[in-house]
Amino acid sequence: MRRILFANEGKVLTNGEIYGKVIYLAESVDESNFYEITEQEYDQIMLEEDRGGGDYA
Amino acid sequence: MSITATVFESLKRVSENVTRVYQSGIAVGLNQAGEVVKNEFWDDFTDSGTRTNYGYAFRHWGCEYIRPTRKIIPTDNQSGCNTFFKNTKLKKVEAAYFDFSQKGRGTNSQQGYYYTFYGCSALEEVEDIGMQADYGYSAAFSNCPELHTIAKIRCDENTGFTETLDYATALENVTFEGVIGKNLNVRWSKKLSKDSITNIVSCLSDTASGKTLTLSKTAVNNAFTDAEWTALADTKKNWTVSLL
Repeated sequence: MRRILFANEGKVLTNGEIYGKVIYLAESVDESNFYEITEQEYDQIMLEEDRGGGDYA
Repeated sequence: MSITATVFESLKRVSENVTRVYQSGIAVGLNQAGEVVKNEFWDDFTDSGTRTNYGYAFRHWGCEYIRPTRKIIPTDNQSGCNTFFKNTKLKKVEAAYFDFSQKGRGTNSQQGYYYTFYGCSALEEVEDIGMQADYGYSAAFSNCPELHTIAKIRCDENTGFTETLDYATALENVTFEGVIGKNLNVRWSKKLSKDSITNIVSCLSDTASGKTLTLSKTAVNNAFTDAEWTALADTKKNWTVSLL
């Protein structure tokens, strides 16, 4: 049976690469690597990852 | 078509609020003196149909529709790079005017569909313009907040989807064709339809390992019952499916 992880209210689950509030784990993924961060922390991480590039001179 | 007929067609289009006659692709236009003249813009722009590379070709244009008198048929693999980048008024990309089916496959991200429609902030629909499976669709449809329909995204196991649909907040309908073999993130698309989500999942590679599909939790909850969604997700147990 596929393992499903659920984040608590206001939180996001992550293992540093995958982010989600509900995560249906692939058989090859180790659930013990997941931890919770706040939604604000998640938003900040996404902001920092957003390159916004492509506008070449 | 006679001169009279083409002028009539020109005036008819003007009456439809197409204000930039030359950009609307009408073969005959009016010069500043009001004389009927042949519009040579598209002949020049396409090198009389021999132009092969359309990379950056329509970048920062300012019209609602791009309707050339000659069909745009790129062959150079650079042709998907920034092609329609930040056309902030563009509403629709129409299959009658563009055929990318002969574009060469890229060997790096900029030779794929790289920021192709990035920042087209009024874009609502991209018809099937023949884009084939390519190196990737890096930010191809990113930052298109009005985009509700993408008729076709063709892909294969090696096609990349880095930031492809970032901030595509209005997206309802998208159809993938082929195999999705790399991470795909559609979390911004809260209105994504049941058919579109089902299509995406059905295209996920059966042999990929360590890959993640990220969807909007709102879209999934709106489209499926718990049982339906669980059954669908279980068709691709080799994929991590994340709902955000």
